[in-house]
Amino acid sequence: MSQSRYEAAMSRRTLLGRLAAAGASYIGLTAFSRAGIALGQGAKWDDNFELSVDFDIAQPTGGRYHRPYVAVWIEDSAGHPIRTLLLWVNNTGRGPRYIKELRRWFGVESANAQQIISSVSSATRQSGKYNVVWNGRDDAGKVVDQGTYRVLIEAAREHGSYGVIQQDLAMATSPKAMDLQGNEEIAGAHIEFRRRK
Amino acid sequence: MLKSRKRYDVHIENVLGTSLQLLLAAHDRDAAREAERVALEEIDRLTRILSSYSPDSEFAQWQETLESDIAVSDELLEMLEAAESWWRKTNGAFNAGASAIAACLTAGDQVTGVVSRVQEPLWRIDTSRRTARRLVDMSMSLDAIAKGFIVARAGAAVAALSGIADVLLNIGGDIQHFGNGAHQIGITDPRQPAENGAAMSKVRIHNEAIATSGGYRRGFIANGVQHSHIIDPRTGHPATGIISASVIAADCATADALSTAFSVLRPDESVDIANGIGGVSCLLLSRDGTLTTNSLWDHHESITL
Repeated sequence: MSQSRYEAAMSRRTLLGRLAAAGASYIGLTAFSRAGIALGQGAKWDDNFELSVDFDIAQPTGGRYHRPYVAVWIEDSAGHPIRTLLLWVNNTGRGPRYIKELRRWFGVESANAQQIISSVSSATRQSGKYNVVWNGRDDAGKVVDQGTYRVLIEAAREHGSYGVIQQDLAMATSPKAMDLQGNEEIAGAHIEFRRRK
Repeated sequence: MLKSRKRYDVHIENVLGTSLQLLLAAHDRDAAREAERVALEEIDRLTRILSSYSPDSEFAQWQETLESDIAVSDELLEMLEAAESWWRKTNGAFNAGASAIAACLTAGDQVTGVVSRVQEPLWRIDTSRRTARRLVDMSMSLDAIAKGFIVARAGAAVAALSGIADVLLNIGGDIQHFGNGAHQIGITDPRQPAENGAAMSKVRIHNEAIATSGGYRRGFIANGVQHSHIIDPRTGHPATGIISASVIAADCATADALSTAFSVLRPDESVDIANGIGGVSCLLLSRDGTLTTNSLWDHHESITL
């Protein structure tokens, strides 16, 4: 890995870490398992499939709670960031920075670069339960190869805890689902490489 | 209100069983914190009046009465009046008795008796004496309008604060805006409702409200089949034709009530009602993928920020 790519990967990983208050401990960084990398090598992502990531925000007993900062993204087998799926960060002051990142997923960047979405209207969703999907495109919109990718869910809280959930998953042509163990901020997660509905 | 200041985006979980977003242009951090406190206080106050879930709410206590004129709060009176008004204006598609039908369906019971009982007025209001008389002994719910009402009132309470220039309050997808700046709102596509899924429509709202109804996130299973939680009170059947209905109106109570009614009406009926009321925009997605909008929705969609 070149130094600059390595730094790009590290800066993404520590994005929330830098935003979190001093005293937060960084956990969950482990060496990437090389197993399964050769799977489907060379073949492009099959558009009959998608990755679905469900996560539950840990709920303190009773009452209301502020949503933590959360980032969900995909890395390749070398640890390079491939695609940011979700980024909720502190955005007080001018220009909420998460919107810049989220633009892509509202289809804004390609079609109407000026449109920034303030909010979303939908049928009522259950408290604290969120879902994001990955369609096998990188941050530049290019189709990725089939292979093993790492799913990362990072959560942090101002003056609070910090944790990362990460899991490697082979994404080629066979469906696969896994429940992931949670931490102090994310109660649990479920990832599923599935056929598109 | 002040000119645009710093932008604050507050997200709180577990408000009315869902998530709250409070997007503010505020003078400073203290003003933003005060706005959050005031919004939650107003939500709690109105929940104590209108909740169908809490047995202690004024509405729940009133439901313990029958054939008796009961003095009610201004807010409950307003909600009962509005619910009855929407029942008439939507030709029975909005009905506070729909929850009783849903309860029967969930339990696997016959609904015909309940369906016929909700075709008559459920209560009678005396506006001069500010009383409400419950006429039918059956469990009712104001949920399909009360959430929008609470969003509108809590948003207004924040907008009245001196340190706030702009407020957009979103509770579980029902949104009210007050302020100088317009906002772009994405509508979730029920076929891909993920947080990062592409919006099926984007509209601009300015001092307006928007609400969306659909059976794609909640529902119930009867005889092994998944059904929408939205019931057509005229037939007793779960809504099947419309999978998402969004309404833009001046206030969120109207948007909430109409988005529920438009989930069970035919698209052409909904468009006629929206155009007849005036100032109401609608976007309706049918199960077969057909999108129906009225011209006022197209107008909101055409303006980009």
